[in-house]
Amino acid sequence: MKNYKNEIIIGGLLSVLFAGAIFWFVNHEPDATLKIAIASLAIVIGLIAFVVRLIKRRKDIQNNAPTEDEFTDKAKLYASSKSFFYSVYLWFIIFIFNNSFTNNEEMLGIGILGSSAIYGVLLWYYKSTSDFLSEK
Amino acid sequence: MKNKIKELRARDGLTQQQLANIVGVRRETIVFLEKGKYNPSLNLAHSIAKEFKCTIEEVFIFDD
Repeated sequence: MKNYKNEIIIGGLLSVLFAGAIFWFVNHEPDATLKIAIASLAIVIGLIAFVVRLIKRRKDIQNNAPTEDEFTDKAKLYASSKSFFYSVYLWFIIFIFNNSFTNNEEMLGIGILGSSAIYGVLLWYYKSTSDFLSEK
Repeated sequence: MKNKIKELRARDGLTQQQLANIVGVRRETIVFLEKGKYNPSLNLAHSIAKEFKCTIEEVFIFDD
């Protein structure tokens, strides 16, 4: 636990900072509450993922183990190709519902964030299961 | 493809982490290898066989 003290402190402080930012926006920008809450939630989730990754990396370094190898490279490649495939569907759906967006920036932002989220979820899934390799 | 990594590792008294460090991969890769969920590259198969002082065919059993 002592080894991860710094990461936990940094993660905790940043979480408090972002939580404070959310409350500030909610109180000062009531019209944009939902959008800001979603964006803030995405930031907090990203931050948590970053801290978890940092902790794992530190553990790997302590064990003198490589942080990446041929398996993770294959998982990345597979997640990239699949996420491109699913992103095409996402963009198709976005263009179907393009009238629901208030402006083009919002539409593009959701599309780009969605594509990134698809890649992140797929990468996490493939790294933790390896099922994609037994399909072939 | 089946393999005898778990048995050979037990024979030599190696942990998954130790074997991973020796052949230069992550422990998770060894876990997936032992479960038969991951087919290694030729380089990795060679490194593992070399570590156990066996041939690749003795460690990895190919289903016909």
